[in-house]
Amino acid sequence: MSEPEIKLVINKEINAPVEAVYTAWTDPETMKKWFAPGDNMTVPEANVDLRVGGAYLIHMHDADAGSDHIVSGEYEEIVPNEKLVFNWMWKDGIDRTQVTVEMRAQGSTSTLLTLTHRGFSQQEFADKHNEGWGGCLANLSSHLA
Amino acid sequence: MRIREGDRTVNDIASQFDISLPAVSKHLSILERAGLLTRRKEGRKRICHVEPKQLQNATEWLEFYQSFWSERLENLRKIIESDTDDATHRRKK
Repeated sequence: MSEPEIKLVINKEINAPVEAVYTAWTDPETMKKWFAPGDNMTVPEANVDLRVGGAYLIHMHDADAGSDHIVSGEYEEIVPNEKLVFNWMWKDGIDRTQVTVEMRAQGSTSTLLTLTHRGFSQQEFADKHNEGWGGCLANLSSHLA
Repeated sequence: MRIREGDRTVNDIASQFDISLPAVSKHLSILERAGLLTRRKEGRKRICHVEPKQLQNATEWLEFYQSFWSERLENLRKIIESDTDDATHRRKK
């Protein structure tokens, strides 16, 4: 029997050509602009070695909490302007999950982006909560409210 | 959620669905592996018990990522769309 799969899928339409969306996911300077949610979080560091087996690293800094969240992984599949697959591991985390970003041009000026994050295990839920993600959740909720 | 009100036997759960007992059993196995459900034997009966704590962890964790990605993708959209507008000096979404 196959392993149970816990995943999440998000679709997002962006009014920009597919090339611009792909660049935003692969150019470190652009990534620094959008990988930080809210006003109090920044991305002081983003590294990308864009080749299969190449590594990326994104360092998120939460000025309010004074905390740092660093995620890294390797690229598993790269199809320019179409698809990126990379694994995803938080620093000090245990589990390696996987993110797939698919980009489909909707005409010349619009792109449908589909993000799939999969491979979550029950263990990771437990571990991350122990590391205080509960607090992050609360922050996020109040930020969104 | 048939099982929410209390422990149920596998047969009991299966009788509520239009799928075969083995199919139900397979679904339950998946939930069990994910730590969301436990099964124990009482005589010939197999009793299912929900682990709400694990379910809550899973839900919260997925909600965290749901917010995490939603927020970032919204940033991404804003940044790209404004860049594109700057570049073309015309099209408005």
